[in-house]
Amino acid sequence: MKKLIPAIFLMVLVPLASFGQFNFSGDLTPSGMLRISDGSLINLPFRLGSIEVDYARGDFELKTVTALETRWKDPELSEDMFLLREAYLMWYPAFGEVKLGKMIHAWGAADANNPTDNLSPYDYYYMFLTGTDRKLGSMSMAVKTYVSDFQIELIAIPEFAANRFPLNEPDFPIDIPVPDGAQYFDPENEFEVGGRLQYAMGIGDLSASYFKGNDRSFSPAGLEIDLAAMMSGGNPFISHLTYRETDAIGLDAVLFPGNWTFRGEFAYFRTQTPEIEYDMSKFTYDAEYLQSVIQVEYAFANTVQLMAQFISNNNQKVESSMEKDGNFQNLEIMLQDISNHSLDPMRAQIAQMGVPEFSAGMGTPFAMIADQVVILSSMVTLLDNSLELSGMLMVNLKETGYMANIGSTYSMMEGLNLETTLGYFIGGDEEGNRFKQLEDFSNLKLGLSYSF
Amino acid sequence: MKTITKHIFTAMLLMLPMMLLAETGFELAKAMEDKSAPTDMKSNMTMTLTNKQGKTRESTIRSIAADDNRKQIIWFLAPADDKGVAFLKIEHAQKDDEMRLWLPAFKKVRRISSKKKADSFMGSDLSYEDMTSRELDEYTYEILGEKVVDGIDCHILESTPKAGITRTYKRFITYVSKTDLVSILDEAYDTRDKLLKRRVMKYRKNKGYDLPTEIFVENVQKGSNTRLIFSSQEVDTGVKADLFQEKNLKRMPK
Repeated sequence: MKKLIPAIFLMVLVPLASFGQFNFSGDLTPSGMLRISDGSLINLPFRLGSIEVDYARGDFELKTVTALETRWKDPELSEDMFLLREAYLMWYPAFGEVKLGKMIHAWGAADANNPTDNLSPYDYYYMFLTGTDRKLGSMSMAVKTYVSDFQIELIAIPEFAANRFPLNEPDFPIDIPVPDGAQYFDPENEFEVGGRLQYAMGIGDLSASYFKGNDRSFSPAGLEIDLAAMMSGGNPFISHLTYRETDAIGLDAVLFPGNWTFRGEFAYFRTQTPEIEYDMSKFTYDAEYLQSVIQVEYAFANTVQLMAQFISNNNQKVESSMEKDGNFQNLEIMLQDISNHSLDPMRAQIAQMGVPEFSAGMGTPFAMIADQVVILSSMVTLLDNSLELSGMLMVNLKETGYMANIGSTYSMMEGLNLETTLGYFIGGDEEGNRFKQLEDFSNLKLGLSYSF
Repeated sequence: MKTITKHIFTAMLLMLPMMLLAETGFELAKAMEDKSAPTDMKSNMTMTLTNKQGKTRESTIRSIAADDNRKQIIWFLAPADDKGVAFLKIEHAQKDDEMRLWLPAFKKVRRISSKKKADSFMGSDLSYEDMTSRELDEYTYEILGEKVVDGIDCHILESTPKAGITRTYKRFITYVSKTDLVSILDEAYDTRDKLLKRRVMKYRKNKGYDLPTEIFVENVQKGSNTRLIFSSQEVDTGVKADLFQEKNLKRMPK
């Protein structure tokens, strides 16, 4: 049978190729990041390359994107992975387009930071990249239709997909507080829907969107007390995490007043912890928050572009509570009754226990770092478009924090680019300052990019 | 006296056809616009960019245009790092033109300001303004004379944007073939009235149309140039209006 497989493959492939159109493309992108402080290698996974295979016949297209992820050392931290990032069928009827399969979605008018873009989860290993490189595909169906100056898009996601977080990753700069042994509750209702309406005006485009689904980032659901573990001298606390149910209403626009370009996005989120039938002390959240991005662009000369972006995350209302279960109450009573001082650390721990602070589970990833930032960036092309230089400065407006990034892309020959990026972080001494945590991540990134 | 009068009358009779046939600049421009053109055109092109150091970069492009080039969709097929990028242009009479760029790496259709007419199209010497039609009524015209260009007898036509019309060029000098009424050479002057670009076009006859086979654009001030060579052309194939929609930016070109 195995000997027949190549023959069967050819019997299927040749007719397909005869009656349709195959298209192959891809890239090789080896890169490395060196810590500025001591020159050591930052050992995080990266995508060594990817390949895209498209097949088109008539009004149908099949698209696949596969990538290879690896790391330079300590392979035990993760396995090399061939990732099928996207595989979906597209149909182009007269009324618009229909897509079905595993795919990455992109909504929003602003660049890189999109509060209204919540359909696809983020891969936080790649959160400092742009575009689809930092997103993950998910099983979904999308229908888009064009009526005069309007575009209407509807999306259904039957299978929930969460953000991918670098947990237990020593070199990842942001501390993601997940307790040891934490257990996850999948969303009660995995089915998610979204819709977007876009109107093309003379002066620009205006869009409104709605998404009903689940947070892409987990949040605390509760605490379970394992008395048997405590009796045997172990940690009695088992953390449970879940994904809140969230509705997101969005507005975004791109406008061209004079020689300026204005891009803006506003998203309102309403999020609630779902009912969980489980014997534990429960944390519940009922919150509303707003995220916005306002972006202004100006092209001074043909090769120089400037962009300023203001990103904001505001909690409008946060109601949270902890409902202690019987085991928790019994533990509190037991610790009060027993005078053994070896239990003092546990008494202190219990006394400090409460509902963890609320954090947004959806929206722009930079909300994880700061509530209000300003980003200034510029790009210039030199040497007749052979060299592209870019610079970016991010300033945290709520507490001391800066990120500066200088990059270059040099075209060595057709399809082959040399890419360098210098990223530098400065944080203040405030407790929990995220930018301070990022200081040791200041790095020099070197990479080659070959497209075929 | 009678003889002189007779000579003057004879001269006027001889000059009368010339006086009747002498056209204004506007009439020449109108005649060029009224010349029969395909309802649509599909073409494959190679675009070669050459910088002042002589370094070249070649792109392969598929283009479909209709409605006298007021609607156009372009797909970049090569090189690899541009492959998949597509551009849609729709010129409107009553509102700002629409220009949209499909960026596969972002999975987004990015609307571009139509006011950025001076911006370079994909790094070439063609600006977005160069790719849009010149509206007949937005310019004043004057015939400056005649010249033979590449063996072709031409009118020299100067076009100047009217007051209130915003353009990146101050004026154009176009060398128009007398027989075919097509532009052989087009010189664009910047706002300081210095020669900025020179565009040379070559044509072939197909189905009664004069179709461009090569367009050479030189940025005189930068020292760079862009050459577009048309490798295949199909006209009047019945391109439908709904081809010029965003969805077709994302799919492989037909």
